[in-house]
Order: sequence, then C-alpha cells, then structure tokens
Amino acid sequence: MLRAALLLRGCVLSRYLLGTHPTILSVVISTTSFAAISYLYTIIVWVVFPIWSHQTPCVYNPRRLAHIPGLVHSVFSASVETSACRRLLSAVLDAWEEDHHPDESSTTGRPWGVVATLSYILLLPFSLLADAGRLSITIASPFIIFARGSFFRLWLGSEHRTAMLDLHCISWTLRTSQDLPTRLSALNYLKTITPAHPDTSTVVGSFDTLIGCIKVTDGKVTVVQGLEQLALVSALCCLHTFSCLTVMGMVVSVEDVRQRYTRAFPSEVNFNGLQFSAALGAIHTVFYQTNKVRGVPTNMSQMTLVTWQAQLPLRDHWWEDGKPSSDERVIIADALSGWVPRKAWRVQWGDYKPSSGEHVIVARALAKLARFEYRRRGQWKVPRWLLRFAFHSLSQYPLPLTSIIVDCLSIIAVDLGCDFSNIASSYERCVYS
Amino acid sequence: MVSVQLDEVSRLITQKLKTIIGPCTRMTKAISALLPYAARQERHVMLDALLDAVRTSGGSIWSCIVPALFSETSPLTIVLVSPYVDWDEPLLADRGSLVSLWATAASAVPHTEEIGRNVVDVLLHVSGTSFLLSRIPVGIWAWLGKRPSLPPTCRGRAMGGCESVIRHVRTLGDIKILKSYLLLVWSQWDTPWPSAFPETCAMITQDFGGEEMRGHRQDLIKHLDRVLEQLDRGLRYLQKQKPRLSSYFFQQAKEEYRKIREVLLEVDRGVVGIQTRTSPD
Repeated sequence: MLRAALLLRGCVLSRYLLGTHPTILSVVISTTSFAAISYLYTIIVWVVFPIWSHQTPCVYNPRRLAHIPGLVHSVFSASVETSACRRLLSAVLDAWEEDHHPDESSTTGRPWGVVATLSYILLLPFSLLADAGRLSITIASPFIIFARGSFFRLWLGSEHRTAMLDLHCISWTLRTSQDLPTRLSALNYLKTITPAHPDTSTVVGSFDTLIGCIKVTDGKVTVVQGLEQLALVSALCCLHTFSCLTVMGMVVSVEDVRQRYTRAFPSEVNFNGLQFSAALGAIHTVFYQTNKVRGVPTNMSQMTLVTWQAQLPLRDHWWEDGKPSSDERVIIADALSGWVPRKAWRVQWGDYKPSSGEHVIVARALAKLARFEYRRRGQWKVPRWLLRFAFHSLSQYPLPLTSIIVDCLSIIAVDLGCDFSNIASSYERCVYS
Repeated sequence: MVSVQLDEVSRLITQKLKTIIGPCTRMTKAISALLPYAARQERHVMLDALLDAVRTSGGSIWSCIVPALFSETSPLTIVLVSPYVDWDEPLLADRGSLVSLWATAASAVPHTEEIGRNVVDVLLHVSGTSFLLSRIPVGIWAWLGKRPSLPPTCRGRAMGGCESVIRHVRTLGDIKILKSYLLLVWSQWDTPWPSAFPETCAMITQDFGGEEMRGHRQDLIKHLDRVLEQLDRGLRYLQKQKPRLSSYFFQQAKEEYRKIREVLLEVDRGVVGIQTRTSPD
C-alpha cells in the first residue's frame, strides 16, 4: 500500500510539475522510476530465490499462481478421463459396432444394440449435467485451496517474519557467542521453532556447538564434563534443523552438512551410553547408510586381504600367484580366528525412553527424513531403523503424545506408499504448528 | 488439529491397505509397527484392512510378523495383539514357542476386563488347535474363572468349543473352571460343535451329576435359558451385532442348545427322582 501510494504521489507530482519546472520534474521522474524498478527487481529476485528472507504476499502469491497452468492442465485431463459423456460415447460406439459387426459368439442381436443405443442417447443430458457439475467442482476446488492457502499466509505472515528474524538471530548468536549459557538459550529456542526456510548456518552452528562438547577417541564418543545439557540440546537441534533442510530439498546444504559430519565422526563410531545417542545416531545412520559395513569379509579373497592388511603385512608375495600355499592357508586361518569384524554403529530403540519434548522433536525429524530425504535419494521404502522407531513408539504404554503418533503413522504410511499430496499442506501446517 | 491429522493419516493407511492385492512381504515391518497401535486403539476399520491384507498375502507372512513382534514388545502389547494372530495357520512357524511367549506375557500383566477378554479369546483359540493344546500351561486356564464378556465375533469362542478342548478342560479336574468354560463357550453368537455333543453329554452326566452339583446345574440351565431367549428373538435381531451370522448356523444353534438343556434337565430330574426314591417318606 505504501509503495503504491509513493508511486501515485510521484505520478501526481510529475503531472503537476509538467511544463513548469522541467529540472525538478526530471528529478521526480528519475527517483520514482528508480524506486519502481528497484522494487520490481527485488520482487523478481524473491520469486526466483524462495529462500531469500522477507518474503511478502507480492512474492509468494505470484509464485503460487505459477502453478495454475499445470493445475488447469491436470484438472482438464482428469476431467476428460473420468467424463461420463466420454464413457457414454464409447459405449454408444461399442454398441453401434456390435450392431453392425456382430461377433459370432455374441448372443446379443441387432434389436438389443438399437435399444442400447437409444437408451444411451436418452442418458446423454444426464451425463452432460453430471460432467458440468463435476467440472465446476474440480475447477472451483483448487481456487478454494489457493484462497485458503493465501489466507493462512496472510494470517501467519507476521509470525513467519518473526520466525525468520529469530532464525537469523540464533544463527548469529551461534556463530559469534562463546558464552555457553547464551548458546544453550539460543539452542533451546531453536528446537521450539520450525524454520520454513532454513539455511546451513543453523545446522552448522548446532553441529559446531555439539563438536565443542564432545571428544571422539578411537571411535568412542564421550561428553566433556559439565557440558552434558548443551550436548543434548545441540544434538537435538542438529537433527531438527537437518530434517528441515531435507524438507526444502536443499541438496547442496545437506551434502555440506554430510561432509562436515563425516569429517568429525568415523563410520565405526560408538554412541552407546550417551544421552543423545538417538538424535545423533539418526543423523549418523542417514549419512553412513549407503556405506556397507566395513571389514566384514564376504568371500575368501576379501578374508585373506583383510588378514594380509591387518596381521601379516610382510607376506605380500602371497599375491604374486594369487594363491596362498596350504601352510599359508593355515596361517591365514589362525589369523582369522582371532579377528573380530567391526560393525558400523546402528541406532537402537529398545531402551530409548526419552522425555516427551525430546520424543516430539525426534519423531518429527524422523518423519521428515522418511518423507523427504529418502525419497530424494530415490528410495521408496523406508529404512528399517525408522520403522523400528515407529514400532517402538507405537508399542509404548501408555501411548505417546498424539503428534508423535501422527509422525510414526506417517513414517509407516510412507513405507506403504501412501500418497501424501492431498494432505501435504495441512500436514505441514500440523507439523510446523 | 493434530487429532484431525491423525484421522487423515489413519484414513490414508487404511485406504492403502485395502488396495493391497497379493503378497505384501515387503511391508512386514510396517504392518508389525501398525498392528499394536491398531489393536490397542481399537481402530477396527484399520485393523480389518490390515488383517485382510495379511490374509490376502498368505499365512506365511505371520511367520515374519509375529516372532519379531513377540520378542520386541512389552507383555501388554503381546496380550493385546494376540487375538488377531491366526493361531490355526499352519504356515505360522514355531507356534509352540509363540504360545509359551504369549502365556508368559499373559501371566505378567495385571487383570482388567479388556486384558481378560483378550487372554480368554486367545486361550480358546489356541486350544482349538490340537497341536497347541498340550503347549498351554495349566495355570493359564485359571483365566477362564474371570469370565470376561466376549464380543459377538470371537474366534476363540467359535474354536474353543470342540470336543478335544472339552475333554482337556475336564482333565484339569476343576469344576469351577469347567463351569466357567461352558458359560463362556455357550453363547447365542456361536453354534456348539455337533461332534462335541457326546462329550458334552458325558461331561454333564459324569461331572455335573449328583446332588452336590445341583447349584452348578441350575446356573448352566439358567445360562442356556438366556441363550435360547436371545435366539428366540430371531436371526435379524442377532445379525444387527453379528452380520455374518447365517440362518443355517442359527437354526443349528437353537437345536444344539435345546438338546444340551434337555440333557441337563434329565440329569437334574434323575437326581431328584433318586432322592425321592431314597427318601424315608
């Protein structure tokens, strides 16, 4: 409104100065044009880059309108597919064809074909009416959904802007503040909000805080004394913000976080005994899931290789002819008898008894991972560890909070291959609220 | 808002389950996770869709679901889920161990009406499978004494009325358990097994004969009167609560229960006659 008023004022002033003060007129026109062009440019940038802060109705409504052509196309194609008139027409054609080219095996004769055709013609007005009604409803419903979405956007606009500012503030605090209570407060607040447009900095901030609280020695993770609470909250924030990144499909950011994580934690890490083993274990499993369990030989060749690498480094002449001798086989067997394969750490839910607040955050994050991260990778089945979480949560007595049940059921629904597109918007609202 | 979402997601899952045709072996984990929730929350539509999907894909899928479920969940969950397991499914592997696990779980949970109903349902269901009858611990039969009200559709009651089970319960030697068993099994919702009639007659004359059993006999006769009264209300009346009740079984139930009642009355009259003959008057 303000920008429109300024533009209007510029136009009126230009009209007033026209022919009397050419110099002032040129200044007014230049200033107004510059402001208008700048504003248009900003809108274009906002439309092109959705993650840009300070999104306004002028931006996201055109972005939503951009979906309309595709929507209209799908509406019409679906309507044509399910059209009663079309079905009637095809039935008439079939009857006509049968009437003129009766099949030998068919028992229906010519009179029945004629009667059927006449019946179909009588049904035509009703089919037209049915199609008209269905088409009206189909056309109206997307616009109703669009209007409802816009209303919610406007309604939640201030809340959304506040959340964005909060996110910037938290990100800045995590980057600059060395004061532990301040960081703890910022992280405690971060886990209560769901950023609609998260960036890597919040994940990295949480992750750096976590790294500052722990030590990794020979794959065993220990928490620095006195920093247990900060470690727990930062691990939860890591999972929470990372899952938000996956919702937005920010592949580059996710990859950036993954690289940071794999640099900090080896595959064969052990989180046992940690208060935040579930949260961090979930991230660990997501990042290391594609890697096979290292060190488990699957055939003799690998077994001998492992032996050679681990136990007998000087006997590399074994590999000159590709076969160890019988004596050497005995040595290999002896070496393997004391060899214990190392397994990558996997998150376990058997003894997982979190507080309700932590459970809500973990369940929400895991539901997002199931819905978005694994789909992005092209995996249509949910990994077992996620289903085990749903199983564990839904088997608890008493049952957990309803929001946790919703998240667990959504994990199961994703695994079953349910289509979330119809309830996606409302589900997101539910999850984010 | 969240409860609306819960209904939405539940509806989606139910719809998806209804569309499953053929083997769903790749969905065993999802079904395992869903079964305890659907059973505990009594989401019947979802549960029916789930069980239909499992049965459609063949009974072998129970072998993937049940052992994992029993080994990983709490005793309470095992007790609540057990009535939905197809215990008579031959493809369900290692059923004997599963019965032991179930019995252990049942002995570890506190008694409530709902738990009692579930335990008795499974007990009767399992006992209906002769192979499993010997695997049931003796102590678990005491649950019959709680006499929970079983629902109209109850697989346990339908299967637990067979001859072998009657014989087994008689061998326990506890008249109260035997009476509770009969009071649970004789119901307007299920037909007594015609093949079990001779065993039933033997039981009535041998176990419920004699003056000291008069009270028990009277209880059984009153119970049968109530059952017959319900049956006299007609098939349509009963079908309101159990739509699958067929007219054939309805008629058969009437006949069988009348025959059993007659036997009870005869035994009762016989005792009275003997008493009359032996009295000094």
